[in-house]
Amino acid sequence: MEEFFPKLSDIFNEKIEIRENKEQLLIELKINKEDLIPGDLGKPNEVKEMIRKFGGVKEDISMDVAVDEKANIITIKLQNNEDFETISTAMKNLWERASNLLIEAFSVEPGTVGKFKDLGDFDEN
Amino acid sequence: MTMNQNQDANPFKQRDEYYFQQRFEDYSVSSTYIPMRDGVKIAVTICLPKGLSLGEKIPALLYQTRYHRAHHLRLPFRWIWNEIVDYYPKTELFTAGGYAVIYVDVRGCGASYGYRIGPFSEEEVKDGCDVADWIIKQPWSDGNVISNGISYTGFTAEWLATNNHPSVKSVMPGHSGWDPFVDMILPGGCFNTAFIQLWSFYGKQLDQNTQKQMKILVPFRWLLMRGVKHVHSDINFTELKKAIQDHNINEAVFDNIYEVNYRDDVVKIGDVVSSFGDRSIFTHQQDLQKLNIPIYSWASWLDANFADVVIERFLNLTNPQIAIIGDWNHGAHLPANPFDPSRAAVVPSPHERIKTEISFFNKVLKGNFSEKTLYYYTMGEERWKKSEIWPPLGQTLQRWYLQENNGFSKEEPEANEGADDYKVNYRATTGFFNRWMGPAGTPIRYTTRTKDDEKLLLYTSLPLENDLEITGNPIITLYLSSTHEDGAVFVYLEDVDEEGNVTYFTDGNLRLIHRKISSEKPPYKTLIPYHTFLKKDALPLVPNEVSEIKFGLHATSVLVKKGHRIRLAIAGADKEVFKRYPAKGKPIITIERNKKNPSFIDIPIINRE
Repeated sequence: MEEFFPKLSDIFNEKIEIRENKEQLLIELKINKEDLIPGDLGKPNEVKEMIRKFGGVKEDISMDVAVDEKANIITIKLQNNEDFETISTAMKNLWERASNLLIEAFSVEPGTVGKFKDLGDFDEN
Repeated sequence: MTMNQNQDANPFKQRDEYYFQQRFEDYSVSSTYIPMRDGVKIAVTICLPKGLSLGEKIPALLYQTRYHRAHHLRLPFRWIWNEIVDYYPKTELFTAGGYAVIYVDVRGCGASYGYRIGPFSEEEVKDGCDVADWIIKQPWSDGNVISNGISYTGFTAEWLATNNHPSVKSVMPGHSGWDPFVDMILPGGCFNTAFIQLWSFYGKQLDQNTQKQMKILVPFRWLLMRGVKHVHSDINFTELKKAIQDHNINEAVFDNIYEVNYRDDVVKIGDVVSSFGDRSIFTHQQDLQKLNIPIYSWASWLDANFADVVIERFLNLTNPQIAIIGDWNHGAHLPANPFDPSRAAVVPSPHERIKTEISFFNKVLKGNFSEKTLYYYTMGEERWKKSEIWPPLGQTLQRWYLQENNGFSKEEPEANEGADDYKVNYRATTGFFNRWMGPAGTPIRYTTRTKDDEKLLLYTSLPLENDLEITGNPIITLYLSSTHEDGAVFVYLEDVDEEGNVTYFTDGNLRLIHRKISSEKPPYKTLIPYHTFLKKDALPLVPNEVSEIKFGLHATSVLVKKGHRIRLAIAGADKEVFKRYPAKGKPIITIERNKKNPSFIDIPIINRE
């Protein structure tokens, strides 16, 4: 897995297309992975948790997440422009942040929680 | 140069017509449950090369784990990687080379149903047969099954061979034991608290599919994974939840064995009563030899007792064998050579190593494999060697004596009196990153010996006049008395360079109640004194009476350079790793070093003339 680390962010960019519609306050993620199995695209709560943890969004932003397993598209509907901008910015940094955190997690020694302590626990259910 | 010192002995540079060739670009992943003979459903993930021609049949690599056969990744990682992203066999290499790879959650683990009464239970081992039966019925199967693994999965690979399933053509146990009592759990009769406690706790988290504690235990695993991958058809996780309920009654390894002192102490789990001997592979030597399948056995000088296991397999099993002992950590993903601490990455790379492993399987399945060779790496010299016999040609035992003024030399003491008192320092330790924590996959580095040695009783030689190659098991003989009936001795062999930097290279230890050397035939051939660790042979010390304490250190291969000194360091405890012996009290150990009781160590040296 570590062999992918140097280009991890690029892999995300290649496999996931982000489309935005500011007027309709929509952000779409099109996942270009052929062998996703049913359920792998994720549940709305998983998507929200991903944005919180890896996008670094601290505020409680209301969003509706729709998962289209046939089209491999996740649609995030925001409530207002401010929220849209926040999530849009988070999404632009998300791949890099996720990549960096994983690389860091991989390199820390067991028992060293380090900055992950502040990341809190995952709540994806 | 002796015969074993062959310039072309690097096992990872060998090339022949069976060497790995990429045939496929990609692979598919599917999963299912397979019912075992007793109805327990076992979860498997199947990886097949994409692009197999119609009717093409291929062999299968079987990988049976208790650490989750596949992972349900967190978002966004699940959108770019598949479920077997971090696994050792490097699926992409095996499938590229024309193998199917079958990952199995052993019963009681992962997404499999059932429960665990202990590692490698009879039922778990028999499951290997049932899975092999299932494999050879698959339309893509050519009827051949091979198995490999590191650590637990190395054990399962070797256990699989004890079934003598006719389709199992070869196994590759890596960094695994065949006598777990001495190989990792109670080496020298001393309980390896640090590792067993961690492993037990870790296993519990895995079996319950809870990730929270992984944040501390294995941070990348916590960040990357939600837990075990469900079987693909189990979209609502219904089966997974039921399977995990089955695991509620799983063993609590640490609790079950913490009070074990003897090899024949019984452990009762539910209705099952067992002892270490029952679940040790060495008791199945006849089974392993029955079909004479080739074995590729590998480990590191620095990881638990696993180098000795490789040597013992080599000595005891008549099977064709490739045996490899290198200088890396558990599983060979990090360098661990104490003589080269600045090495940034492990050599060979996992990629190169696994290509060599595939080449071995190719040769077994397509050729005629009949050799028996042990490849070993000499640290300090930084060179691979190979031998068809062990010990290697040219090895002799050289006796070094403990001397007055903390000296260490080949001269036998002549004085009638001479002894050193050592008040056991229970703060002495090798720390967290040592051979006994190694099986957790941690780095292995004994880099603080210069400071650590301040708490130990030391004997140091004069600078060597010539290079000295040490290859094999040193054997220590101490004449000692103690103020207590129980206790332990830890002996370290170290290299001290011109600047006084201390480099550990091997060690050994013995709980003193196990000091009796048995005259019985050992259950397998070994090159060190045979301590049975049985209750009947327990022999507490008589306080203040001198006893002979003799035991083997772990096999090693090092070159101590001219001008460097050899140090023998003695401790009575390793705080971070082992249980304290005795539990209470502060023993003073007296080491005799005189004409009547000359304490010494026999060091296996290689004649380099």
